[in-house]
Amino acid sequence: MLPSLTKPIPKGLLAVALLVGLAVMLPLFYLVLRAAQAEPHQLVEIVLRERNLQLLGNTVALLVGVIALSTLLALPLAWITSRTNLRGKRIWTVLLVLPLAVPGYVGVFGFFGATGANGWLENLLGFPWPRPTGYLGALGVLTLFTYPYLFLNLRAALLGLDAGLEESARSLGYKSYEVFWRVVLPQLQPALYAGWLLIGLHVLGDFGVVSLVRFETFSYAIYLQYSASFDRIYAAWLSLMLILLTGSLLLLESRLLKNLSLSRVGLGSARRQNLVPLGAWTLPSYAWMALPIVGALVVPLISIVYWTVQHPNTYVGGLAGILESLQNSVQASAPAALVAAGLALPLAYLGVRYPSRLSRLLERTAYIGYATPPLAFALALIFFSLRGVPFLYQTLALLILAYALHFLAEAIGPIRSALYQAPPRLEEAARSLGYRPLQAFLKATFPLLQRGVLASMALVFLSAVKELPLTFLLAPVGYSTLSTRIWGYTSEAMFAEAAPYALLIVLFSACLVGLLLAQERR
Amino acid sequence: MKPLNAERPSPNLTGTTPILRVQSLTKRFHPSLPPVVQEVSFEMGPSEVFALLGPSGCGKTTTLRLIAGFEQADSGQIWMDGQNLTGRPVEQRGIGFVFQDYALFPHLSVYGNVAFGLRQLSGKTRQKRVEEVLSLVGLTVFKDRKPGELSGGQQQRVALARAIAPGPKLVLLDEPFSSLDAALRQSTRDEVRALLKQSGIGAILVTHDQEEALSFADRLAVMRGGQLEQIGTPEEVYHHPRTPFVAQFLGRTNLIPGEARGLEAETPLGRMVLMDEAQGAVLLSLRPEGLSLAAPLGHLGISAKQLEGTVLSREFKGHDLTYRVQFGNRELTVQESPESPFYPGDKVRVLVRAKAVVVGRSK
Repeated sequence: MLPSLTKPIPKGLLAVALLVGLAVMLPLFYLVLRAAQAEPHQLVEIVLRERNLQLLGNTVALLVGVIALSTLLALPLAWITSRTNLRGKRIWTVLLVLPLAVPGYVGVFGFFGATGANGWLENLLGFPWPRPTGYLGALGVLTLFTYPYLFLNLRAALLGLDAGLEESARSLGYKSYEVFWRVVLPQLQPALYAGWLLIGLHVLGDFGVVSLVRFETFSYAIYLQYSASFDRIYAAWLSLMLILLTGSLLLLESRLLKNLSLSRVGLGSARRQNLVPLGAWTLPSYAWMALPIVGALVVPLISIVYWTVQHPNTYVGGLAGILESLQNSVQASAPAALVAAGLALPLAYLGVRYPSRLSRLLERTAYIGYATPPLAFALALIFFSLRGVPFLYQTLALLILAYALHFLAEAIGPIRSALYQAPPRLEEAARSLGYRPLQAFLKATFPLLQRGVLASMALVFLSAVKELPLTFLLAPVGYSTLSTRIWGYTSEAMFAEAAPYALLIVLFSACLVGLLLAQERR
Repeated sequence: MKPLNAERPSPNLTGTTPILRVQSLTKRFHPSLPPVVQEVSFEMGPSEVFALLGPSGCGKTTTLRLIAGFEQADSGQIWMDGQNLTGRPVEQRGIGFVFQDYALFPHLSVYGNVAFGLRQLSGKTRQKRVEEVLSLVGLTVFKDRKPGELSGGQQQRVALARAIAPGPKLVLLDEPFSSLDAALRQSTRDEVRALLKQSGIGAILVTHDQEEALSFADRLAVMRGGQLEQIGTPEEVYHHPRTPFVAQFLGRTNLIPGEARGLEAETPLGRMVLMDEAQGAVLLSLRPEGLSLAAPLGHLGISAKQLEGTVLSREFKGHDLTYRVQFGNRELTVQESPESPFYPGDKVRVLVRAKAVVVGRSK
């Protein structure tokens, strides 16, 4: 609407939004500052190091591999669950989305616990199964746990397609597979790009999987720099290179989307498609769907149960440790949820009620924290706190802040959709009845946002519980959470010790999925 | 609620002090676009019902929102009861507002909605006031319901009750009847008008429905392209439109060019009597009920071909009849009594039975 173009943004709102933007950008600024401390000759040596090229090659190879493999996996899955006469589509869809909730490092724990000497596959088959490591290990695990991003996008797009287009193509003499290539696939482009972007961000930001399967990407190298030699300047440069790579990905996506114009032309509403009978393809379809479900859900679950039941003694003694890290996880995640929702509220309000270029830009800053690879962001926060706010270094407060800024984008979603359902007229009505702006918001709009705010907080809380790299770098010394414990035990091949922690994380994740599904249904 | 028919329209405000005075309000939403509201000025007497009438996009709702304070004017002033409201925030203006979609608080009951603006009252007095207003709109039995559980007409009345509960001197109604179905609209309109008159509250109604404006308002202003074209009582504006736009917007009319000489004008329809004096080329407006048809005089041997037309269509509506007549190179609309005998294709004479109104003059 035009009127809002010139509506002045209230100063208080603007201040909060700018503060959030500053909180996200300032650490990155310090990262650049740190990197710039290199001496000129040192700089050349650091940037032109051959290892960088190798890391770049590895990272890009993993990125492209995961994107290609998940497309291969997700496209048929999306088609089967949307356009065929498959029975129980809803259940299948939920099962196929579930892997999203299992953190990658729990996935690695699942595979490591199943394979190799002492794995349950050896018990079952009589010989040890090879462990997934290196490039193929990272490729397989990351694909299994990120393909749902693409699956969800493609499925939604397929359901939204206008059947009339395909029928027109058929009537113009195209065979059904030709119609798929020439009509359906081109229309799936936006969904493909969106899914690829999410997967790409996830792969670039991943630390848990690549570190456990020991495949050297930028993230893993940053971690090695940090934990072993800790050459801070080199770590800063690696982070910058990783951020640059992420930026290029975002740029590429927006470029690709810019040239697309796929809205429906013409009047009338889109018609529902006819369902394709699976026929002889029924069994292969079931097998295809079973593949990721077994890999990403059944294997980790069996591993958790197997190691928990097989070696009860190893963790009974560690019960105190389990409780402590559970408490630590909650202690860091709950305030983060509160802070994130508190910051998301003014940002979402700004974006919905004062749509303009400025407010859009401010809202976008929330996504910078989300897109910045967590290890790089954590490192930036370390540099920032050391130089700018030393009293925050190595404190829980810094970890909470990092969680809040990183997951801010997740918090904005539900609040924004709730805001869209609360018409601005309500606040105007309250104003005309004698309430000042803030009171009017609290009395007329906020009661309608409660569900959205609660959903935001729950989302951030559960995501923060699962979070690994930020926790890893920013938690105070000796402060271990569920996620850092799983990672630690798994990297030491102490699967029995890791199992109960993995169980707890999976329970949290199940809550997260339940919540997301409930959100989607509304 | 019984309708009060006794009140007389006040054609102008001489003698009474206005409760609202709007002076040259101007508002632009974007520097590169023309103003949405341009130099709008009018006055309202106490407990007067005023209507802003115009096509969609003419700036009438923006004018209303400027008066309420939801938008700030670029220039111009708003005075109420001798106080300058121009820069004042919404909540300090004491003006009630009824929204097109009512904007009832979905989380509050009917009672809670009406009590919302009464927080300065203490428990007992507030309860009394809420019940008073609810009985005024006839919704006492629904006070514990949520807005979602009410019909459209009931929601409308809650919105009105909420707006008048704090006792404003003025309420602004933004197309409040447009979301009601036709059958309900008429009765709700009558009830609301009676209620406003009964409680002595002034009101500004914004509408694009000319019939609604004519029947609801004591006085009305016709708005076009951000400007007021004419202000007056419904009768004045209907019978004395000052511009072709006003003439056409307030019902069907025939616009006929002519050459005026004092109180008469020569037109393609022959000599006409004018309402006001004019000289030179003019544009005249004649309502369809000001014309009538007669059989041609051909059988009497009098040549009057230039005053003859052909019936194009006949629309029978029970209580009256509307013809479209081809007359020279123009089409005329004529309203006749239902027993009028002509059919499409018939040759007819067009007779002028009313004074024509000058809606345009050449300078």
